[in-house]
Formats: sequence, C-alpha cells, structure tokens
Amino acid sequence: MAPTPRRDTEEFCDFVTSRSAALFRVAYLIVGEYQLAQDLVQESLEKTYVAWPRLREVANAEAYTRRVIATTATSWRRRRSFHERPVEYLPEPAGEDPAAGVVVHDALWAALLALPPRQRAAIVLRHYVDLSEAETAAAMGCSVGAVKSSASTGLQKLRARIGPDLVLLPPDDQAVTP
Amino acid sequence: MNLDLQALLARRADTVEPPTYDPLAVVARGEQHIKRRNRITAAGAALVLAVTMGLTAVVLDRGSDQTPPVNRPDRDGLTWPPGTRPITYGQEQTLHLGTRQIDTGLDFLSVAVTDDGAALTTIDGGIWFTDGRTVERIGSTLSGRVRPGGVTWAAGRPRDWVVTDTAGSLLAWLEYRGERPDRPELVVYDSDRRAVLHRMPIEVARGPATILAVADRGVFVAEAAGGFPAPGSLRRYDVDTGVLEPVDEADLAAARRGSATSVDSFTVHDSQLDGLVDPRTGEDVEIRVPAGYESGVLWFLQWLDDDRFTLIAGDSAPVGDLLACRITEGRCDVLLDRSTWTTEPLLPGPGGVGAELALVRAMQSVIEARNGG
Repeated sequence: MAPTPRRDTEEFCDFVTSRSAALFRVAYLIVGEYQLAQDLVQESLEKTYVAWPRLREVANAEAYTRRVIATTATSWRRRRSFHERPVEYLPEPAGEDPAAGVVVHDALWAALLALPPRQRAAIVLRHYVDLSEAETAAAMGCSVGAVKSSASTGLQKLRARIGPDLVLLPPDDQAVTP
Repeated sequence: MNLDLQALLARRADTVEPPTYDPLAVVARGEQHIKRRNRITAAGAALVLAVTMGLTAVVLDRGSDQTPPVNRPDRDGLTWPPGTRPITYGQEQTLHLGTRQIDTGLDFLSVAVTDDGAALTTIDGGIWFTDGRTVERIGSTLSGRVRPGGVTWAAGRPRDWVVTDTAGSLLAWLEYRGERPDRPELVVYDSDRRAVLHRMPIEVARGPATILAVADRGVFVAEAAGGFPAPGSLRRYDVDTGVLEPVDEADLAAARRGSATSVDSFTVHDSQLDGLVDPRTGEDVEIRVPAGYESGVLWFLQWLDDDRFTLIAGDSAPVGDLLACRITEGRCDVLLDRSTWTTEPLLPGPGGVGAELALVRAMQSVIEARNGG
C-alpha cells in the first residue's frame, strides 16, 4: 500500500495566514456580500485542507481554493436556482464631473451584481484576478469556450446597463495595439 | 468615458476589510470533514458487506414506513422495474418517460422524477404527477397567492418547484396559504402511495424559504438571502419522525453521500469524468467517456438506479448529446444524439434552456388567454 501523503499543518496555516485576505476579496467580488463571502472562504479553506496532501505546492493550493470558491459560488446559486439578481437602483451615468466616477463605479458594481453567477465569476477571475482564459476555465471547471461566452455576454450586459458612452477597457492580454 | 474594469474591481475589493481566519480553527473543521468522510465510506462498505452476506431484508426494513398504502396504483403496465427510474425529459407539452411519450396537455415548467413517475409544475402553481398512464393534479404551490381569475408569474421561480431525492418515492414542495409568504407549509408527498405524508408550517425570518434537497429520508429547508442560504438557517425535516431541527451543511453533505444531482456538472480529464462519487461507497469512481467530450461540460441529469445515470453534453448549457453511464462498467455511451432535440429539452431539476423556453411559452399562453386569443 502506498504511504499516505503527509498533511503539513504548519505549511497549511502559513497558507491561510498569507492568502486568505486575497481569496476573500475574490469571493466578495463574486458573491457581492461580506458575510456570504466570509462563509464561502471558510468552507473553501476547509476543503483545501482536506485536499492539502495532494496539492503539494502553495500555488496549487491557491488555485484549488479559488476553484472551490468559484464552483461553490456558482453551484450554490444554481442550487438556489435564482436567476439574475434584480437591481432595484441603478445610478444614472453622469458626465465628467468629479462625482461622476463614484456614481459610475456604483452603477457598474450594481450591474455586476445583477449578472448570473457564472458570468460574474468569469469577469472577476479574468479582470480582477487577471487569470488567462485557460486559467479561468480551470478555476470554473468549464471549457475555455464557456469562459469566453460567459465573459463576453457578461460584458455586453454591463455595457448595456451602464450606458453606451462608457467603454470597458479589456485586460492587457486582450488589448489591441495599433 | 473610459472605464478600467480591472481598476474598478480592485477599488471595490479594497473597500472591504477582509476577516481574519484562524488557521487552527480551519484545520479543526477540516479534520472533522475527514473523519465524517471516513465514517461515510465505512458505512457504505458495511452496507455492501451486509447485502453480500444476505442481510438485505434487515437493511431494507430499516428505512421502510409502516403506514398502510393509500391509493397505491397497480404497477402492472409500467415500463420500468421497481426501484429504478426511466430516462425523463420534456419537450413542449410532451413528457418522455422511458419508452413512453405522454401528451400532457400542460405547458409544464419543471420536471422532478421519482421511482414511480414524474411530477410537473405549471405556471398557475399546479403540481401534477404522471406514471405514464394518467396525469393527475396532486397539489399546488401557490394556492394563497393566486388571485381569482388571475395568475402570478411567481410559479415560474424554481424555488416554487418540486424537489425529489435521487432515489425513492418522496417529493417535497412549499405551499403558501392565506396570503402568508412568510409562513409556507412544507408538503411531503409519497408518489408510491399517491398521498401527502406530512404538512409542516415553516417559520422564516430573513428571506424566502427554499428546499435545498430531499435526501436520506430528510427534507432540507433554508432561508434564502441574496441567492444563498442565510447562514444558520438550514433545517432538516425528518420524514419518519416529523421533527424539524437545525442542521449544518456537513449534515446535508452527509445525507447526500456525495451523490451527484441535477445541479451538478463535470469536466473531463484524460477521457475520465472528473469528480463523480459512487453514492453507495462515497468514493471517487473512474468513468470513461467517449472521445469528443474533453473540452466541454457534462451536466448530470438523473440516477436511473444505484449503478446507472445519465449526462447531457453542452458547453455553456445542457443541450448536447445524452450519455448513459454505468459505474460497474466504468464507462458512458452516447444514447441520444443532439440532433434528437427538435426543441431544447426540459430536463429534470433546474431544467436547462428548456425551462426558460417553457416559462416563455406558458406566459404567452396566459397572455393570449387573457386577450381572448
């Protein structure tokens, strides 16, 4: 019988201490609520601990935890079977005055929360975590094509909701250089 | 105006102060999961051993209900053996139940399968059951919320649909009476007896009640908050004792025994289905899928028995080939080609694209009826 891989508690504790804040921010952007994000990260860290012996490296552990966060968030949403979250208040996009940035930011956040969970997860992983399409697909447990579709549809909805005059800058690897 | 989405997301993330996680508390909870998983695995192994040693009767008797049958229909004429389920899906008003095609005459919005047939829901809140021979109305989800002569679109919400276990005859739904959306009744129905077993008022405080699962003779109910179960709101209704008590997600996971349900999807690595668990043992199983499915997602449809299940392919939605799989053979085969779908199929559980189209059709029917069309 093969020996059971060692579960290095000290190394795992270091991982939690060093990476939980970043993982929480990703979870928060995906679910949009502090308490839910806190619970989601707690649960995901516990699952990571269970899987720790086969993850071997901290980089693998972080990717694994992010995958648990993304898939649990979207499966909870599907299990809840709720569709897009209704947006009761969308601030009107404003002009170029100093307050406009704040209003637009709020509008964009509200529009992001209104997206279906898979589209929101794809956008957060691509645009905030800065994962490639392949890495995002691995994190969401789906194909690259599904990531492209989810992110593209989500961005279209964001553009439609925040107004035609607003241009969303793509991530660096999608930018077109003249 | 140009918006840097990456910067905006970073700014939003920076506005929240992350909580501090106690690593040792996480470790302690993780150890609990490991012990629980080991117990489940041991219990599964013990069950297999008991059956092998001829103790089947003892095991089966433990879960049986002693209530005498009520309106139990004759199984003669059904086209699938007891303890199994036929492959089930809807297409417009037709329900495919194994080899039968039933013209229901209903614009049904959802399908939930039991060992005895399928429950359907309609936009007026109606719940119907068919075993392939008859279609009868067995209940309502919205009796208190439907105005006379009117209709509410609320019946189109999945949380008003019927939930079933992956095996057996139990169905559960939430019924609203007397204009009290804050106090629904949990209804548990037995499709073998064609009878309601229990009605239990559910108190809610933070959000709408929703049934998460029917598993291991329990109905798991929670309150929804922002699309998730509100923390600490999960409760289990014991079908055998009638007791409703608080539980946690580990209890729900243990009741499910890792069994896939129609909300799960799988990816494929090295031609193997990634992450499917054998509900009999709680252990990962190796299932080989045919070539051509490596890049997409395979959506779980239903268990046909303890050994057989179905998947449907699709990239971002379950609309592709239908695969039939067998754990003991470790493989899946294509059962229906995607060209079979003349319209997107309405699948058990969340329903897929077919459920969205069914809702649109049902709403159009209501509007046409109102307009006298």
